[in-house]
Amino acid sequence: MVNNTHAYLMARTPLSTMAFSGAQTNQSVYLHGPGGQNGDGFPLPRRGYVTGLHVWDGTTLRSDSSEIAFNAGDRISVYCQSGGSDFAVKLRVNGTSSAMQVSGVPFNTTLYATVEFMVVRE
Amino acid sequence: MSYTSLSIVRAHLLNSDDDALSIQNLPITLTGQNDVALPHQHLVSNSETVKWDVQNLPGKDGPLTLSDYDKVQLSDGHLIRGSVVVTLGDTLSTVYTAETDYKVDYQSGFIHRLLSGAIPANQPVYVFYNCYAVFTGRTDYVLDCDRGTIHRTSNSAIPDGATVLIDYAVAAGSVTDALITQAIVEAEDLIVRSLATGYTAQSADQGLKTGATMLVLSFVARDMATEALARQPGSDAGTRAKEWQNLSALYEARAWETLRPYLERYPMHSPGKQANA
Repeated sequence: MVNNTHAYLMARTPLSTMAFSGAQTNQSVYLHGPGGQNGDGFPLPRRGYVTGLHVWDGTTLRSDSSEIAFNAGDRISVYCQSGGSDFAVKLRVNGTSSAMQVSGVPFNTTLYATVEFMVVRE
Repeated sequence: MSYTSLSIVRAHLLNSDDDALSIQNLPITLTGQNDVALPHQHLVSNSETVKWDVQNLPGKDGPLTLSDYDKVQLSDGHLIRGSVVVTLGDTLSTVYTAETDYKVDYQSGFIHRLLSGAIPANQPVYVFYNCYAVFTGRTDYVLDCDRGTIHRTSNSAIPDGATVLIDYAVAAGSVTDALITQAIVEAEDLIVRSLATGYTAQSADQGLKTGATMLVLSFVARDMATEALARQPGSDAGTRAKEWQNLSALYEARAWETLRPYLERYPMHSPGKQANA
């Protein structure tokens, strides 16, 4: 039997995605987000959780998942941070790196990153 | 002098009363202050819950720490069965399973983890659930337990014409003292008129007492079958009546067998089947 409460809870936290991309060299930089601009983030309308980060460098897909909470109005972005020999690609909230990241991303590739998140409808 | 007594018969009946019947979530529509007949009569007093399910959004309790086997009281009782979700948080990344990981007392609103389940001891969890809103007897409705009817009060919180749900228990077969007393009179009259020479209404033989008690029980069970059938349709009256009938036949057979040494050779009544001559 379907648990109506569970169905409601699933429906009130719909999964969304936001894509970021950019051609990289070896410099730390924010990836460009929807609309083509890069910066420290896109505001989110409701509280919620970032649940996944998926990065494709043309050869390898790297992913991380956890639950990064955010509040309504917080901004999310994806930041490529150089480690000297490669990048760590990190999810940032309000310009601050979170624990969600993938590492070992090579320099001089074009990166495509998808951030998976859910907002809570209350 | 009687061969048996009210107290003796009642002591035997205590072991043969059928169980109370529990009815849950019966929908009834209450219009004006008109009586609505329930499918049963002889309800157990104060056993009823009149409620409805009009909650749009589930309630949320948490974080609650479930430790060991301790029960934790939720904010509400009268939870709707199958509506409880126990999870670590809004993302529903972990949803625990009822009866495997935890148990809920839906009526009282208690929850506890199962030792063999997946919820770690002292794990904070969130509990989401839907619950019924419960109405108040005599304030919102009046229930006549004997007649099995219910109606709204004039200033009830139940809207006129609303459909609500009702739980109640139907009383187990209740035998009145008057019925037993009458059965004693009838049974002993039957026995006395069939007594063999040397036995009288004052005889104190244990066999007579035992047989008389069984015959009275037979009569009482027969009357209980009639009462069960008199209940309104939609109940389990037929099944209960059959049970009482079977019990009556059993007692009667034992009664006449026990009384046989004290009766004339051809008693007026016999439980045995007789072929037509």
